[in-house]
Amino acid sequence: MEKTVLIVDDTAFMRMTLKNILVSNGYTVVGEGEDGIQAVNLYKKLRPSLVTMDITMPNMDGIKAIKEIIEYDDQAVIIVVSAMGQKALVIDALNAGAKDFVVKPFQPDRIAEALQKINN
Amino acid sequence: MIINECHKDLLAELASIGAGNAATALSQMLQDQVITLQVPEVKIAPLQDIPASLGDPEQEVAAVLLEASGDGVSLTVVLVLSLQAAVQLITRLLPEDCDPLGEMGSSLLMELGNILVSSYLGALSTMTGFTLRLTPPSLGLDMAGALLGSVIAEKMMLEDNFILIKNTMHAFNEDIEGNLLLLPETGSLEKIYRQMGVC
Repeated sequence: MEKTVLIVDDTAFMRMTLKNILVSNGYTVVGEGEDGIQAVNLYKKLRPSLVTMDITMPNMDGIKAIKEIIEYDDQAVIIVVSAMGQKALVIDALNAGAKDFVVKPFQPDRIAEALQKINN
Repeated sequence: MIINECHKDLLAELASIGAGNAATALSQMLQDQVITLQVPEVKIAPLQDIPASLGDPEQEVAAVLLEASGDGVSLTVVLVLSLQAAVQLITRLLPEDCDPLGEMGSSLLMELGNILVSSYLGALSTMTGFTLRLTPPSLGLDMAGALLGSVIAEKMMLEDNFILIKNTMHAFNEDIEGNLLLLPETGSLEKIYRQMGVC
């Protein structure tokens, strides 16, 4: 089965960085979103096997977007990729339904580790 | 509020831990390039001194502005790099064919600001136990005086003083200067100090 991913981050640079890593790990990027609202809409339209989600974004933040996606599909697989590594925010994201939390900046290996974790 | 020596010590400690976190983050972004740090210099000055706080007000700079808030604390944080330092970092991080000041370069600067400011806020959060959320970054490229002047012109309810943390990092055989300006809203500094038992 094809592994598809939706990348959500408000900066084009970070989307490009994640895209390169995910493609080299066998994923097909089916969509890119710049805020939480786009994330929710694109998830419903594309039903990707994975979502990478930033937290700090305009219009709707990543935590709210995770909650809305999980409410729509409780099997959604979401990994948070955010610079905000404060403990309470990590817990918020995991409670909302994220499967892992990667703190920016990261090495490509850390993303690969998160992918391995969700695939197991 | 009146800032005493004890408060200054605390800010120096915050600057030191934050700069250490920021250097680690930058090193990771630059494929583990060794980055050494000078002890950050912390200054507290009246708000009206902001436009000239970084030296020549006509110097071209890149500034990334973020708002942090949570647990009753609100502050504006501005990361300011000379345009030269910004271009130097961008060219190390982007593919060669990208224009450093084009869309991808601007995007990278905002992400860099987000990551470096989060490094400092992580230190503040650990020291106080407060959880602080950030707004998305906004980027300005202009002369330092005009750019910083416009930041305070748009803000109400700020403390009378701002905090300037001057960092000098050394990488690629060159010094990279990065300045962080913290503009707390009225009452926020007092709340932070009280939380940490410093009055």
